[in-house]
Amino acid sequence: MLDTLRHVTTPELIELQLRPAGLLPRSLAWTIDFLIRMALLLCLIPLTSGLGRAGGGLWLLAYFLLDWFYPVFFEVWRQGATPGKKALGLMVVNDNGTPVGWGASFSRNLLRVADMLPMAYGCGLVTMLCHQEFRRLGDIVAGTLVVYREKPVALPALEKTAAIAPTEPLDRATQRALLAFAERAASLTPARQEELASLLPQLSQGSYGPQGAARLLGLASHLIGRRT
Amino acid sequence: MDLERLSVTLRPRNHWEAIDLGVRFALSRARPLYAAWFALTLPVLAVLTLIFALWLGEISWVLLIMWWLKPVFDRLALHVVSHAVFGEIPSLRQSLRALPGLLRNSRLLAALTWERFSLTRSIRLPVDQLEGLRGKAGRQRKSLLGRRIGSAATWHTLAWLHLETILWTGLLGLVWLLIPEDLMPAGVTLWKLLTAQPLWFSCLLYLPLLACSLLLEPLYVAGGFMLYLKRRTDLEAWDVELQFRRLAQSHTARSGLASVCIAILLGLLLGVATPSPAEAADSASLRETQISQSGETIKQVMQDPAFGKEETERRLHWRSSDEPKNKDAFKLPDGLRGLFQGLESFFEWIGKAMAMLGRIGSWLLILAALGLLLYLASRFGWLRNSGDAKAPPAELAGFDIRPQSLPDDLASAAHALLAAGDARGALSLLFRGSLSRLAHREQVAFARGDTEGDCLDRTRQQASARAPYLARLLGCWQRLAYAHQVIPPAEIEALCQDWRKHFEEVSRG
Repeated sequence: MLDTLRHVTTPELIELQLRPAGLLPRSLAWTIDFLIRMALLLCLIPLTSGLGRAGGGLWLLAYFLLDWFYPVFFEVWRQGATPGKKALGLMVVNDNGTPVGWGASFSRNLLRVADMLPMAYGCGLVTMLCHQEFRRLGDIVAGTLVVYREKPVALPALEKTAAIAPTEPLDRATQRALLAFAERAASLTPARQEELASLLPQLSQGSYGPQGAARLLGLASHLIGRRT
Repeated sequence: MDLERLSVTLRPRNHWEAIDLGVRFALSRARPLYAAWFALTLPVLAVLTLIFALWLGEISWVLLIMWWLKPVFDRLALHVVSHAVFGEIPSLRQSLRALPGLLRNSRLLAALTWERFSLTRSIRLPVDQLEGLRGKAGRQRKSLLGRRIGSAATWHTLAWLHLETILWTGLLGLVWLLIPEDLMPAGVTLWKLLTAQPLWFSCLLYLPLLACSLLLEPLYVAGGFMLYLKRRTDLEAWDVELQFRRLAQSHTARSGLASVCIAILLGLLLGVATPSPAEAADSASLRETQISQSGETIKQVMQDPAFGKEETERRLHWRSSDEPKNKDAFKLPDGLRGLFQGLESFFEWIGKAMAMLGRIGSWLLILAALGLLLYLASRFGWLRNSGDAKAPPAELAGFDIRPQSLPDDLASAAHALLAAGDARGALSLLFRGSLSRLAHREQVAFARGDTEGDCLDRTRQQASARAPYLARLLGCWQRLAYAHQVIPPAEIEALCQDWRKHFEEVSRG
């Protein structure tokens, strides 16, 4: 079974799933950051041009700082996400899921020089395409990973159906499947709901068609603690 | 369509993740995919190159036509990917044999003409090719599928367009950078070549572009297909269906197993008795040996690296000043050391000066606080009593009692007055002198408005030794001044003598 997840086991034997982000969202995030940096540098031109050659030097300094430390600043102080990454819902973490520190952030951003070769991140694009977890050279060296930020998920509202107590204890897989069904039911057509319910005759207990789907929903309501 | 043969995990994922998974999947099945892909594209490329490049001398036409024909090639790539996702990887021969049918039944004409420039062609292709819907139904289906993933598909197309260009220019730049300048014929520059474009140079220029484009296109198709699968999974709850099917399977397996188990149990119940006491004792002793060996077992388990190991960590930290300084370990050149020592003593001096200033400042502050306290005390009268005691009134009961208004030898002066027949003057002088001495020398606290009797009372309270004399003097004075009686001179004479005894000694002492 192929998936894009990275599984991390903590010392407490809790398994975490990191979702590495691929080429497309990362390129878009980089583009947004690039535009922001260019806009900042353009805004600096009128400010520094009044200062003559010293202004030119200041502008170059600003360019240097923005080019090298813009990502570092945001990765260390802003939860691993530059504005572009934030817009795309991405963040940088260590490959064990912990937040990146100075060392990791510096090395992954210094290695941009290598990823940029030969032109416009060609090297980085190829390594990202070929790597199992979509890492570019800087990520491989620094041991970091760009992952999708877990969005705060609103609890799915189950439909208001009368709760039905199961006649026998349900194992965990069954409970999970029932809840998944109930959560998704709102976006399914009634015909599809019935079709799915007919797959589990042992739970629908002889009720077919709409009654079968309604029974599954009732069981799910009971599972989440409704008792009416 | 058999979901249980699916070779990718179904779970709710966002659209970027679906595209990522597509790329991952295409690369994991790269061999059959690219075999079929190049089996189709390379012959076409060869024919086009023969016709346009070698015959007509226009290689850019090859590029354009290859680009335009991408939907044709995509159908084959999608055929391989979609079968591979469901676990049946078609062989090269099967794929090529399926190709004519694919081209006939998948709206190829539309895809090559008005839909060629569609930015969502990667998700339209699966609908056309795999669902085979036509006309209005097909349009509705595409709009339904594209509702959530349309923007992602658009970005997907745009990104792949740029990716091709970036890799192409990168490749060219790399090659150009690595050609030694000595090998270049004189006068040949990149700009000249780009503008003149001889045929060999055009081939060198556009071959990498074709290569990049051909290599990346299957990944693009796979990404679009996974996006399509994601949308269908969302719409039709494929992941839930898969879970339900597995549950149903395990249920039937369990019910089969349950009947077998019941049969075996029945047999056991009939044939076998409960365990004998000897067996029970055996198991108890086994348990005890296990417990006694538990220390060893725990040690063995703890040697597993999962339960902790020693790690050496090295890091830099600032040396605190009270740590002993190891001077041998780190020697500076003499000049630098002198400089550092000079700096050190300079900073030491600055520190001392600051400390001194601070100490002076704190003393000044304390003094100022004391002064303020005193000022407040005097201002609000906390010290009034002692202050008044020090300043007796200048005039008391009609007499001037300031010491400087008195003659130096008061008793003799009184004597002289008595001898001159002025008994009144002599007595008043004696009384005035007594009050003055009492007020100034003996610190008797007379108040400004005291009468002669009050003065006698205060003297009785505060200087009782002088009170009898003062009472005698006052009696004489009152008889002379108010009752106009004649006081015998001998009595005044005695008062003069006694005054000297009472007050001169005090002044001397």
